[in-house]
Amino acid sequence: MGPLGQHQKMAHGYFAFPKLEGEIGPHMKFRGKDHLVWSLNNYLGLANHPEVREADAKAAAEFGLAYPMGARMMSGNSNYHEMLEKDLAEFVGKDDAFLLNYGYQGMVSIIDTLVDRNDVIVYDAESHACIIDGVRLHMGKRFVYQHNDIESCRKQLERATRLAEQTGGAILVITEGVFGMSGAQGKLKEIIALKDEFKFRLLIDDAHGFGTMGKTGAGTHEAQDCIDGVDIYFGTFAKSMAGIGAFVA
Amino acid sequence: MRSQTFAKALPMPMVLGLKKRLELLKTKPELRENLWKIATALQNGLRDRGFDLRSTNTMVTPVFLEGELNEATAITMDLRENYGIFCSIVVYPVIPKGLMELRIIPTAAHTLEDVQVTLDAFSEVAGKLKSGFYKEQSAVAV
Repeated sequence: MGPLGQHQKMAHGYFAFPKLEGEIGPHMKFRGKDHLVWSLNNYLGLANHPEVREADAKAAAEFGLAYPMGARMMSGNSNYHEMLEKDLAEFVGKDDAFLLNYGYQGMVSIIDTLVDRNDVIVYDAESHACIIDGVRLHMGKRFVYQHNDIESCRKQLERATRLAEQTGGAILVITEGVFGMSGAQGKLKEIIALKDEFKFRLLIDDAHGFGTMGKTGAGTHEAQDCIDGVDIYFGTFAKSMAGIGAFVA
Repeated sequence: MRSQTFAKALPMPMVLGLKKRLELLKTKPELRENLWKIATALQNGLRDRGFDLRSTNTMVTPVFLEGELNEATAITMDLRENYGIFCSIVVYPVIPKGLMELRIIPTAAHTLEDVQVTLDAFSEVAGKLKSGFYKEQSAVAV
């Protein structure tokens, strides 16, 4: 029983699993009554944008929901999948991108893919659950630094560097562009500055920052003017893009 | 990446729909400008009224208030039932005991009028919270 356990009977459907009905936007119905809604990550208002609704409907009519069948590797690739990847990579300032069916699972899998047992992960203590789950899959060592605390990050990088020298592995630092609970930006620029002292790659989860942050909306790395310092960029389609899925670039 | 290598591709309508979204995101900067107009008005308004927004430096707007769990549920219900405002509530263990966070997510689709209504409602419920009004409330079955 969670922290809302004492209210469990009424919590379901009210505090947990509430049903918001009507067209997606600032004004929706909750339990039959009009509400001013401040709970959706529909940052750009694209969810119900007429051009988006039209494109969704047209594509569904033309292709149905089944196409393409199979995994990309075997039989499920298409020109449109590749075009979208190319556009995304270009937009966020990276060489290439890869589509992910789900953001959460995608991040878990990215971490699993980037490291082996000899590598060391250094990550922010307030990282999203998908990062924590990804780190759990890691067979090697991991060090957590205090939230957005660069001195703490430096200390953990010192430990990680000593360890990586022994194992012959490399270091992966993971943080977020925008922390969704507090609204604080990850200190990307300061972390990148640590590359002068330590050798590591930086992976950022910019689920909230993609489409909202930076001059062109490319993300928090653009906002902090450190696009090249971010080695691996992760953005989701579930927030500003008002869809589902994600990409890594 | 194993979870993608052995998983079915994203359906075509999703891919084409995402291409359209990305195109709008790139070609309609006014969407992002409106998001920031709303976020700035909301955060300035809340800070002017003495609300604690902690470390946010983005559009995500957390309002931190002191109170116990029953007060957190009561204030959320009051906002929804009597002010028609729906926002998310965050309590222990995500944040420390004795604190609650009402999280407001502004969007480009909101208006400055929505912001004003919300600022006024937050001032009222924060006043009630301070006066101990919600201490007596238990979250009755709704």
